Amino acid sequence: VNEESEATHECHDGCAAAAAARDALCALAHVTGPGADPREVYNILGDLSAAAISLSRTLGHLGDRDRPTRYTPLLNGSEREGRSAEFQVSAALRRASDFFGTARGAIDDAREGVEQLTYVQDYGLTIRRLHLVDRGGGK
Amino acid sequence: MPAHLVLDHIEKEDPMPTFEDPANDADEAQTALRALAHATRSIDDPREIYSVLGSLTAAAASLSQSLHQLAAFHDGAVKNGVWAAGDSRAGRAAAYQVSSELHRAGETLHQVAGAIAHAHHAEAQITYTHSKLPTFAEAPQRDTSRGISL
Repeated sequence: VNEESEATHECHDGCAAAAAARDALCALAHVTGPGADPREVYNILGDLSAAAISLSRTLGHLGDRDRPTRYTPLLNGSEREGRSAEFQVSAALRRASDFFGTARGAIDDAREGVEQLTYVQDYGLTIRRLHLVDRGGGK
Repeated sequence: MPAHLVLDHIEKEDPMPTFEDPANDADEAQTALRALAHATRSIDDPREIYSVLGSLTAAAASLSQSLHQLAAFHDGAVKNGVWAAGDSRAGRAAAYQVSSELHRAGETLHQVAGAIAHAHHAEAQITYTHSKLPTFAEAPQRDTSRGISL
């Protein structure tokens, strides 16, 4: 058995791709708040539905520990405990992957609902609000 | 396409979020997640999984937040007064239906983030040793002159 130092380990493709996905979803969360144009919701939900499929696949890949590998998992110096912990990780990831079926179904249903909606900019209500502000702060 | 080509594609893209174009950001997020699914098909080093799970926990939480925010718009579409999802009773009913489904999806993603965080925590306790693949023992010399015997 050749021990390999943790310090020499560098994360490559998977880590960089995961960081890019994290940043992209963080950016999306910033722009979907108040002030977003609701007419874009239909297209956004289409992308999010596809995103859910990709995330589910990713979790499935990460949870698959049956592939042959040159690495042995250890926990407290024990391979048996290491394998047990690895199994726990795998089970949690498969459970998370299964959730995506529900999430994607809900997103698709919402998208169908959005298709029936017509969004209009309601200037009338905006003007009434301004009027109320004027009256409240008037002399 | 090999994973390293996908990674090149990610690095050449503008990493700065636009903060003003949700449709474009959603498209970028979807592209990044597709590349991630491709890259994780062939993770040979399990030590990468810990870092990937950390990013995925945050990614799922952000996705949950986006879904709840999109739902919240439909919650208050009539009350907000700036945008209205149609002014008919049917329009309002459809808006509430959309809101309900998006909140459900957001809550499911919240559960997903929790499950990934649990996996991340469990993964943190594992250390990996790099070992050579087992080699086959050298077959003993057989005397074929006497034929094959069991």
